[in-house]
Amino acid sequence: MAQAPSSPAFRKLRGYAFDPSLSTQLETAVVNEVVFRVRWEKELGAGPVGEYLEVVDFDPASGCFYAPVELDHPAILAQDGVSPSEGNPQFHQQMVYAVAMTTIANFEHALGRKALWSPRKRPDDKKEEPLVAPAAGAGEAAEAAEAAAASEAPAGGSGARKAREPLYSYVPRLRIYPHALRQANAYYSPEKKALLFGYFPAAQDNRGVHYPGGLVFTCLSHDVVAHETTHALLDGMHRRFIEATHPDGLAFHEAFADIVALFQHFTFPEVLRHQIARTRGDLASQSLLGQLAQQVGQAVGNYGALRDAIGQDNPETGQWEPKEPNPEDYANVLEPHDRGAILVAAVFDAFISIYKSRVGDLFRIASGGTGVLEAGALHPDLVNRLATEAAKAAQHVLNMCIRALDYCPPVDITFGDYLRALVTADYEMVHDDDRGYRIAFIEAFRRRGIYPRDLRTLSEDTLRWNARFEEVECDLVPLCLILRRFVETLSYPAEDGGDGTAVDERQRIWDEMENYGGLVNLLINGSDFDRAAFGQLTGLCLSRKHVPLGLRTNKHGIPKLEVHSIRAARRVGPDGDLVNDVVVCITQRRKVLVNPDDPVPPGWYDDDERHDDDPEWFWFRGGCTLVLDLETHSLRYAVVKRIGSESRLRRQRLFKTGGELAGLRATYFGDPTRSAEPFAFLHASHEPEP
Amino acid sequence: MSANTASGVRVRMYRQGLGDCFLISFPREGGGRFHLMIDFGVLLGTANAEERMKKVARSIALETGGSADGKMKGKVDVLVATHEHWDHVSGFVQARDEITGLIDVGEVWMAWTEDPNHPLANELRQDRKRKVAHLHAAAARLRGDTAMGDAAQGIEGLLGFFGARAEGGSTADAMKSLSERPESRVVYRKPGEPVFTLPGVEGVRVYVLGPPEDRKLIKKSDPTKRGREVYEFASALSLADTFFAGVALGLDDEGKGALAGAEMDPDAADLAFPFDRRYRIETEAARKLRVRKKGGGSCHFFREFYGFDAAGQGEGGDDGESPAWRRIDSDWLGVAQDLAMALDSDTNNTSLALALELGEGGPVLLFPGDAQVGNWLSWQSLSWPADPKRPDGAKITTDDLLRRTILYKVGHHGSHNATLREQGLEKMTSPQLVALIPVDQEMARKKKWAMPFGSLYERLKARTRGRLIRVDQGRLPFDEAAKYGLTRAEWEEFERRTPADPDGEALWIEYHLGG
Repeated sequence: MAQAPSSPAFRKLRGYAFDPSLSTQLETAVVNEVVFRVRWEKELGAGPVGEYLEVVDFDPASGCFYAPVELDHPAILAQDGVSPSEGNPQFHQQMVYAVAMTTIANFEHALGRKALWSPRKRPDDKKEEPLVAPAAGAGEAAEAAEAAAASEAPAGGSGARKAREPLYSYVPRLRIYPHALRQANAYYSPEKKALLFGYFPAAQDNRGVHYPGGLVFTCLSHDVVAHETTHALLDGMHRRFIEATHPDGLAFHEAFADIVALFQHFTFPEVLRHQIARTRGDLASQSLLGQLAQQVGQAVGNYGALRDAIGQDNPETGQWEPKEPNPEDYANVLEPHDRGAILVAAVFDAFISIYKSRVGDLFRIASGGTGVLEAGALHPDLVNRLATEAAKAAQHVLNMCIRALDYCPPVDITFGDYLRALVTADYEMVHDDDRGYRIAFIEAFRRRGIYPRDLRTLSEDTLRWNARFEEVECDLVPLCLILRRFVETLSYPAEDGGDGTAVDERQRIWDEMENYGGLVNLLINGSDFDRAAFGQLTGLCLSRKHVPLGLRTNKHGIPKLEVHSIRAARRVGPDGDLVNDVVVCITQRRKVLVNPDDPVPPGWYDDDERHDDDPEWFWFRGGCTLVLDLETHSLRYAVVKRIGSESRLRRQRLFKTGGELAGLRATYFGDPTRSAEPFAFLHASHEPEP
Repeated sequence: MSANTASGVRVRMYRQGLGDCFLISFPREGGGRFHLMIDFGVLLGTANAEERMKKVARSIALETGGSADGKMKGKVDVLVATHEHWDHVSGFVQARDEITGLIDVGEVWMAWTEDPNHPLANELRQDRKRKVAHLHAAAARLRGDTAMGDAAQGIEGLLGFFGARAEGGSTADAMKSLSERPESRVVYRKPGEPVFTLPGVEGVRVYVLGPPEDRKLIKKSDPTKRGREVYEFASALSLADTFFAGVALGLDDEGKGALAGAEMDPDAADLAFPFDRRYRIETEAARKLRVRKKGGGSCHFFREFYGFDAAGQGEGGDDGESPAWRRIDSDWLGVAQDLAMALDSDTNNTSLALALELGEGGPVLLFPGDAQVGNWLSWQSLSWPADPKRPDGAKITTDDLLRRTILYKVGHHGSHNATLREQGLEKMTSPQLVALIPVDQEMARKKKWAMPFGSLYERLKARTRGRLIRVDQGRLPFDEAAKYGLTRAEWEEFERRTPADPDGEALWIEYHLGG
């Protein structure tokens, strides 16, 4: 009998490189239809429902469902998926699946591990259990484990909760609703672990390329889908970034989502070649590659793309103009999208510099040494070579941007922190910056006024997260041993379920992260552990003495902590050695008043519930990201946001009372950034307005 | 001359709650007073609203020459109704007997947007009526979903600006009762009409600033970022239409009854569907839909991955019911919040905005109603000949008027989008500027509204150097005003000019100009 053929590596699916509007223009129609090469999923059900995603097509505004597409149907397999069509909901389902999977693949490629969605928090059950004392404001899984395990004593009188029931549960698949809304909006819902896409009638004028008054589907825009998927992926890694604590917080979420969407354009070779030929190799001029969400932007009545990283249409002349970096912007622009645009522009600028340095020689070769090209179209060979370089540079930049997430603080991120994370992450990958990548980034950020305010100089080595822990004596071997066990456990192949069913590899990662997080918590709370020194290293408050106001403590008065995540970062290092690092994030929280002078009743700080007559308050979080070397049992980096920092607390209070952000909505509906759907507000408040 | 014209002018702000009611009186040539009343309302949900409005009406009757026993009626020479919002016109319903039985009204002024013979006005009102009905329906549907209760409450709060839904209790009824007064002449005012005077009053000239007779500006409500003057919700109508088509779809019979007269053209409603009929699967069919499962067999796809069971606590998968927490039945209705806000703003933008100039080139009293951005911006294009007999001569511009403004009635209870910054407040550079804010912060807080808006309130205090009067708190106390540079002597002078009702009931507070 012939051997069964092995599974293919990819599933080919047709879709739009940008969005349907470009297919109606002669110039771009040829490149707009691309074939996505999506990792082959063996167990792909109708929907599609796979390992990471479940596409569920319910349209509540129309009160109807659309049948799920079966991508494994031979008729569909044989023709690279359903053919692109705005009028066929099955194609819409295929498009969101293809783009979201591509985005996930980019993440996993850069990080070298599987991507997880943010876990689901157990809903507040205060209605059933009114007397629960340490209820879950934001939940601390490890704390629950600790409370149960650390003391064998009966779990504290009236305050007993359902012990050991985890506060967070694993969510295997992100859900995607391609037609969830009738509005010009699309958002990631952290509550539902779902992407909701809207559709809406285009503006009734004739300036854009859309059909006036016709329907526009946000789920058919590559950029919108990639953007929203990135929100979900980022939330899976850093679930505190959606809390608005700093003008940079939500802006970072937005910017990062845009960066991923933008650089994904460069992974379509046809588009890249076409646009390089059109711009004669000058990617800094107006091109489709630097623009986001063409059709959506035009359809809401705004001529041009929704967001343009490198330039914009001048509203007076209607002409496209490149954006000039302004060092004042970072200080003055506060609206999240506009502020995010500064970061996107900085990254794009760095990319352009890198690209230029990579293609300088090609231009010189092609121009007989002058570097000045003759007029006319470029030679196709040159276009191909330029496209190869652009794609390489783009892939590097995208990887750098994603990899930097491992080196970000777990809470309260600023753009300056991100720059430091970028530089550190890249240094870890390539010690010798002979291509000048890091310089390009530092330069591009500096030109926009983005740099950390607490550094004396702006050189590569000062920007790298520092090594101030060298002054502190702290025995980290026991911690490293636990984390080593974590990494090793996961490196063994999973035992199958016994009944032949495949084990969900990602669930296993999640479960082990929970288990080992609990162990780390126990270790730190153990009697042998040098909490004072560890606290100095990490900026956490761990001793019974000098507990800052509002910090959560257990019933023994010891401050609680949450082991937020543990992530393995194993890879071949720059010198060819195996780098065996692990990243662990530990956080704490304090209950603090917005206005510190507000009077509160005695015992108020010990109550985790929100009450109607409370003065305004919020959770102030601190914590650290530790990068540990498991070979030498030493700390490589500590990225610290001190829980006791009064200056950071002051800044957050100021930010909370600033209030200009929300405008009319805040007049009538309260602070939207505290609502369950922060992205619904963010996207909606921006997109109807050019 | 200007000092003379200003002397004896009194501006009385009634303190009925969160709402507007002003009585401005000018000395007449040869004795007596000319009374100009602006608005007569209080927010829906105010405690004892009827009683309070009746009290205000009786006070106005007395002040305008009526007798205490009601045998002699008072006389308001001009009654202005700025726009159709409950907090500006509720009294015409709540104190109907008093306002008609105790007070005669000479002229009623309304904005052109209330003119039954104006095509654009009719279109706007029709559109508004339809949207109010639909938003009530949307809010009712949101009410049914516990997770969306806040949104429903917010929308209903905004709809409260249009009064109660009960028969005879809406703002439309209030406006109607005004135009039906037999003794009064109704005048529809529009910007750009020539400057005119008040009969029998020397030197006072009236400028009509808004609302703009321009479809785009009247829909512009929010300040644009980046200073670009592009109007918002370019396609608000069609966006709203598709949305409302969905709302109407899910209504039960009772809800459909409520929409009577505001239904949608069935063809348009069908166009709002994103896909052809053949693709749509109704809920019942979806419940039963089976799809092929990987490795043979089949499953109920939508049961397993969406779920229909209301309890829905399961985990889904393997033909279990998908959990309820991931469903999206009501999320799409959240946009009703935006539509309700847009509608509220659009209505505020129809405010009749007036500037009263006390003597040629003299000080100005600014009463913008609740005008929002589009209304304010439109004033910039207006100008009036300084000498009416020489239309080509020197012009008076809006900037001149703003520069000379010494009393500003703060729009929309001090919300952020009803006072323009650069094109408004910052141009009111007179050192004598005084602000009146008809706000009740407690009430606003109950509704979770930011009124007065923090940074605007700060700026108002700075601009007026603390000479500011609020409905809820009266004049700013000295300690507070001193922070903005007011001296003790200046504050005492201000106190002397701002007497309150002698009974101490906090029924009104006045500002006396000149002299």
